[in-house]
Amino acid sequence: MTNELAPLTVAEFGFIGLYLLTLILVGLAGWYSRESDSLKDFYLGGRSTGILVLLLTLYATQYSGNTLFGFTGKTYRVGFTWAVSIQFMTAIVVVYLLFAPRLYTLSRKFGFVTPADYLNHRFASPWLSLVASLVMIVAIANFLLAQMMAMGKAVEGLFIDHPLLAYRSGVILLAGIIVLYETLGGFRAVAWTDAIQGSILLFGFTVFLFVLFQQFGTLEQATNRLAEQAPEKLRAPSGPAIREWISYLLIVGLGGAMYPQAVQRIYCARNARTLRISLMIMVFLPLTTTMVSLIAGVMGLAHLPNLEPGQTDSLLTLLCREVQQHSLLGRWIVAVLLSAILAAIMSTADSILLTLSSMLTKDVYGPWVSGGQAGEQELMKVGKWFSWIFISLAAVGAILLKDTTLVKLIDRKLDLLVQLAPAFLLGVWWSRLRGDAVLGGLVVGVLVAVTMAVCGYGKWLGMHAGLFGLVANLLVSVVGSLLFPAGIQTKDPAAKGVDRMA
Amino acid sequence: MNRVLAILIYAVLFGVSVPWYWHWIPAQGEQLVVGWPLWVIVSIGGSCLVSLHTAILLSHPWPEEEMGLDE
Repeated sequence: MTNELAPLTVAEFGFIGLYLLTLILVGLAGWYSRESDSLKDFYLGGRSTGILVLLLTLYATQYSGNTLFGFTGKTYRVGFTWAVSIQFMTAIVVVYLLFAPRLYTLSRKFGFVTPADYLNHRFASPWLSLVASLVMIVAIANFLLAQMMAMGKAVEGLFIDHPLLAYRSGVILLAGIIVLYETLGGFRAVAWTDAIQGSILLFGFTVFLFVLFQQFGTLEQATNRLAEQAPEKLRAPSGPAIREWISYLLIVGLGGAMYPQAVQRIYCARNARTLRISLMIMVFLPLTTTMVSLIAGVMGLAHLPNLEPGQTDSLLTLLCREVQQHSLLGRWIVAVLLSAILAAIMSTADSILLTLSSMLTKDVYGPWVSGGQAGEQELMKVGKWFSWIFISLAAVGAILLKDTTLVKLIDRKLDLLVQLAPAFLLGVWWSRLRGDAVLGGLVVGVLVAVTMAVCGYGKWLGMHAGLFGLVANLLVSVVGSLLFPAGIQTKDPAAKGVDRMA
Repeated sequence: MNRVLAILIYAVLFGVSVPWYWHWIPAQGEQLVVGWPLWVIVSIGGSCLVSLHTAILLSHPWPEEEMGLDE
């Protein structure tokens, strides 16, 4: 079975082209709407993001190309057990509930721009801020590379005759569009394009669900067919699979909430009510996107059996092809869905790029390269240069690494990000938590997670390596804080800030 | 809502959502209900209740709003 879609018509290409053009226009609008040439304005949109835009940017940032391609393919491979994906995407919002209210209050009071601003304020440890920033940068830079590769693959599927040229051109064109609107309009452009992309994603996936049912029949028919073909895919997990389920809940719930781009979205809300209501709606969104991925995977499993393992991540494309071949409406829906797929990938990539730029500029260049001498204008200029350099490197990397799989490296990002959980979750609640102990815990946690992964124990006893690292991390952080409370200084105002909110 | 009660509700809901107990009643778990295996319905249903519980907790104003500090 071929993985490519039927060639799109000029009108269908025109629709996708119009969408891409709109993104640049939004970037221009963001540039015209800037209120000041400050880091706060460029990286957080002046902290004036309203409910709808905040909700859609949170949504578009959280749901990447991996949610669409990866989750559908994973359901194909493991069956209904991947229902865990609905739970772990919900768990991310539950974890936000644990620290977002306090972090938001602190961010307003002390003007945080990057996640490390909070760490610097709370623990007064430059080394902790630097190490935490580097961990976040490594984790999400790798994620950016993966999004660039996904962009190339999405475009490659549109051009059957020249796939390699299409892949390279797709990476360069889409990377160019992203960096253009990002450096023009900063956070505003990213958030507004995320709002467009989030809307297309929601609409595209909802319509796709109905078309799937029309094309293949009901879910009941698919499940009945599956009961005959592969009954093991219907069974509830047991033993190690249950441990893996719990492991996914913890690693994605805790690690997903630590995405630096998500933390910055906590800072950018217009007010606490805006953030609260956005999260209130956000907690139900796994029931749309993730659920549709699950259903699409089950439909594929029942109606397109015997795919090669390498083909399963292309299941969504195969389903699109089936839909596309049967009606004019189907063709247009696939054009919308392709835009939704590009939207999911681009919205994640642009958020990562902006966050990378802000962290490199404010947390690394500012204090460690310029020695704290750089003003806001210089930092902004450097930040924009960083964006261009980063996206160029990512584009070159995506082109050079086209045929290598980054899946294992991508998996490692959550193993790394989850190590930040003690600093944020415990940090906002427990005033006795000490910076040096958190730094020690972070280093130990990262070392344990990375060593296990390198030695082939990325998952051990059904649990992710990052969770073993997290246990070690917590032990060092908590025991270190309890044993050496007086020997390590904590910045007083931060500790008081935590106490006041308790 | 009382913090301990909120955590207890989460514990119960996640306890129901994680399908650890179907191992002892596999036949019931695989029974199909409108196209879904029963264990999946219970699991996703539990997840919906987690969402609902979270939304209820988020419906209460945060301290910043209560103190009138929200802009």
